[in-house]
Amino acid sequence: MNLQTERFKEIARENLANEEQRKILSQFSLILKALRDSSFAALPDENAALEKGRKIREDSVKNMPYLLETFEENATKAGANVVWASDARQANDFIVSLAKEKGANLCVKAKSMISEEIGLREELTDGGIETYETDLGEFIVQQAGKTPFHIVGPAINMTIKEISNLFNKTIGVPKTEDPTELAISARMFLRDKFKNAQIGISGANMAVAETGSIILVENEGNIRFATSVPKTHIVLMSIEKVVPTMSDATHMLKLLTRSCTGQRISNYVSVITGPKKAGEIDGPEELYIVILDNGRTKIYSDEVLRGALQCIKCGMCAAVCPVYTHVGGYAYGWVYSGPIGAVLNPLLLGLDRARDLYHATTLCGACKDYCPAGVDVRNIALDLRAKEMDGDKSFNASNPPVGLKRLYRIWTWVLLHHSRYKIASRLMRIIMLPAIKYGKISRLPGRLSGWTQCRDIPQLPPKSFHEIYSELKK
Amino acid sequence: MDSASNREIILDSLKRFAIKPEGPVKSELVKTKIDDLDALYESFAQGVTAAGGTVHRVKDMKEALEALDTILKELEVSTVVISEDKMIKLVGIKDYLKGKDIKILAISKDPARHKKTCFSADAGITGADYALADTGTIMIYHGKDNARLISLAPPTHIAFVEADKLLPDIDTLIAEIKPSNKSMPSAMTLITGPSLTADIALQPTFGMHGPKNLYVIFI
Repeated sequence: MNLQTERFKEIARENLANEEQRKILSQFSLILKALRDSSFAALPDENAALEKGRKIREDSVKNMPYLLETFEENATKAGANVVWASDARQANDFIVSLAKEKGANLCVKAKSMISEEIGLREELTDGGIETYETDLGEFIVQQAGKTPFHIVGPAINMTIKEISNLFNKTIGVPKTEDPTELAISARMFLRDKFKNAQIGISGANMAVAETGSIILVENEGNIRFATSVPKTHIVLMSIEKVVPTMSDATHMLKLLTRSCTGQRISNYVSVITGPKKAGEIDGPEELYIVILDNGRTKIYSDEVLRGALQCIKCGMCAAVCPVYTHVGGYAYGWVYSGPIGAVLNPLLLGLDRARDLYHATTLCGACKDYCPAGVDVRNIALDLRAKEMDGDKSFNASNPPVGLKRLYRIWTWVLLHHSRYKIASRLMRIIMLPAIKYGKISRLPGRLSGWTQCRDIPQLPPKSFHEIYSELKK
Repeated sequence: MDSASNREIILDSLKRFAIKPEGPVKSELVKTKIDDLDALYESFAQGVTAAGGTVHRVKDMKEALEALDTILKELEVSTVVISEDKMIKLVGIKDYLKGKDIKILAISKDPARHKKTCFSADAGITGADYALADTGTIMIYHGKDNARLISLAPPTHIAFVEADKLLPDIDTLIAEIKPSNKSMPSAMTLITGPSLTADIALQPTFGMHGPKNLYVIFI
């Protein structure tokens, strides 16, 4: 996947200028939020349900290695082959050579973020195995040669006309303005692939330790096909997908679909435990489960950052984020977009390669309020910024600009002592005076001008609270 | 790739920072309490309809067959593929359809032929093992007698479910089936309405990959 995290500002600016896209984005987030809210309101006690979900994810992450062991044991008992991969290279190589070993030339893929993360589709294609995304949104994105615009709606930014032109060009169907006809064209095209594919690849929404099951959530039925028709089903999951019990999983399921699309449940939920059993006509003969680390054990070693691993990839944080709903998904430059992408992309790629992402948050915390898995993106973003300033290189933070670092040091020194703070605020009142017009500063000079580009600095009041308070006490 | 050594490295590095939780996350959630079948059914029917499916509530097996007949006529179905589960036998669907102008495609034990059958049938008819009232969901245990593709590949899926299999919600389902490594089937599918997509301009379209029509005959 083309990595563009270093171009955040540039791409964000481009996308901000795209009026049509901003209209789609604001509609999308409004609709999604309304659907989400009403589906949550239908729960007997939505706050208790959210709390429970957050606790389940927190405990699952805390207990991850032990849950993975139980999961592996039970999945193996059910007949699955569990394989462990440390990084993208290993996982890709394993899957491509397995597919070749099986003599496969056609592979159908379910939507999976982790496969995007390691670029599995491209690897399979390069290995001579024709590979198709089968989720309609992902199929469109693949045909267009783009990256997903949103975790759940990969092509929501594309208009019907764009998709019609695209399908006309790539799969040779007549142009149409009817979304149903477009969907049918994709259906017909992909049915043929489902029928003939030898390999089906899926991710996992959850892995249940208690039973060794994989849970897959979808609406279209493409995952059911990809996991039922091909002789070999390969599950690619990252280590944090595991939850303790089926009842924990179904609780998370309620929160996941509500947060994803505002549905009380998705149209299809598949619970897969091992390959097909003796005497069964369909279903895969072999089930491989590839458990992938790809940088997560390192994230796990940091008490604050490991919170990011609680994420269940519902995409709700993007819909409520004031940054995402303006700049859109492309600016995040890699697989994960929105608030979770703003911290996960830097953590997985190295802070130096995605520095703008965790700085481009308003710290409003809407993502945390809506998160069904208890991820505190704001806190993680702040921690990443602090790591950068402290020169903590554990996640490859780049060196902050010398001036900025010095400024923060002075700032900290001033704020750490009351008397210094008092003197400084008095001084500020005087320094600010010449720049004030109509009770505010609208333009700062030189390198400080960025601050006032989109906002004013209000004039400091003549007296501080402390000054007024001590006067009144007298 | 050395899976065993990867496993050791991954688990060891996680274990250095893992914390065993005190116990399972306890639920203090309000339980949905509806015992009345009519109220449960109302909620179930609403859920199915909201998801784009259709429900017929019938008194007995005879009415169930009549409902099936109506659906098949309405959709002008000429070929069907039928699962071999208990429910199908109980209702006596195969015998009933034999006298009609409908071709029953035999289920083949050969995977390739089975695939061809399911991809070409006009409708797939199956039993369902459970129904969930709060979401309008049916649940199917796939196995020897209820192959996966029958409820997936044909453009119409007709499912039969008995009233005593209707549970309030997914929590009661889990409590009822007591999932364990041994008890789980190779695949278990929760189905709520027909196949759906909204990936093009957020416009809902049915029958994306799976069935376009879902009928539930509730006995």
